[in-house]
Amino acid sequence: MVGDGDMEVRTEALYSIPTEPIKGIFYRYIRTKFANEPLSTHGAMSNGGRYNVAGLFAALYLGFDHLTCQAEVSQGIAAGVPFKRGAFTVWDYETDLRAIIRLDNNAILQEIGVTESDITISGNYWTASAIGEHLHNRGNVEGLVAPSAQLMDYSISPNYLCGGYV
Amino acid sequence: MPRTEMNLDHLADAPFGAQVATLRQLFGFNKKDFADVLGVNEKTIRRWEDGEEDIHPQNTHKQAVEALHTISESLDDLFEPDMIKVWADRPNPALQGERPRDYAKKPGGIFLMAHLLGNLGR
Repeated sequence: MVGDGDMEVRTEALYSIPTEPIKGIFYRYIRTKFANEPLSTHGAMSNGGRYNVAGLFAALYLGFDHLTCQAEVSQGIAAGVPFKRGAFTVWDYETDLRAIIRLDNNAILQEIGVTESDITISGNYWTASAIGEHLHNRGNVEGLVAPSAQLMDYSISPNYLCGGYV
Repeated sequence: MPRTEMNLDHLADAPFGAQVATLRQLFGFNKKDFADVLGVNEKTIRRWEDGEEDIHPQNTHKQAVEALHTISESLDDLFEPDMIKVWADRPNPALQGERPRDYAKKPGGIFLMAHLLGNLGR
């Protein structure tokens, strides 16, 4: 188990939760300067992300919709300041993965021993990145679907696909 | 002639010396303090800002030069000029809630900002 305060992740459960396939079009906002590198995970590898620790492994973060992508790139170092028009280019990704884990499923979260709020804490990636690392180590998980930490107040589908573990 | 006013228009296209002067002013440094946080000496800052082109910044003080280039390019890519000032003055969640202009004064602050800005959306 790994813990952060009172919360403990049941790591053993992360190795036995059944996977499921996912297919569809997902989206990514890429800085226009780097738009010719749509599969680049340079930023995730270098800075880390909610589900991947910097330098350990990379992941491609895709949104279910444009609004989610926009909210995700507007966090962190650029938070609170509107972007210049044309700063980002949107790419569509036709995605067909056979083995992902749905962290937007409460039953699965319960099995892992966490709640949605544990993995969407602003500025605290501890629990989410521990989950991501174990799923990466499991070796047969191609990605995961997680709730976006940026769109909790929206009534749209605030999901985020962290796919293509590298 | 050295540039004395902060001009955030097309920052990344400006000569390197103008980028140095602009970022120094954006973060509220005098030349000596800016030199200290970048790990160079004050004379180097002065020469860069004065546009002494026989100095090739890419060959010396590589880390500082790259960080300044990355910040210039990223701010230019991401924000309109008037918004760059807003960004510098606004508490930033990625910088422990501090304003970029304050965080820049911490040891390594400029380099961390360059790292985060350079990888945003990449």
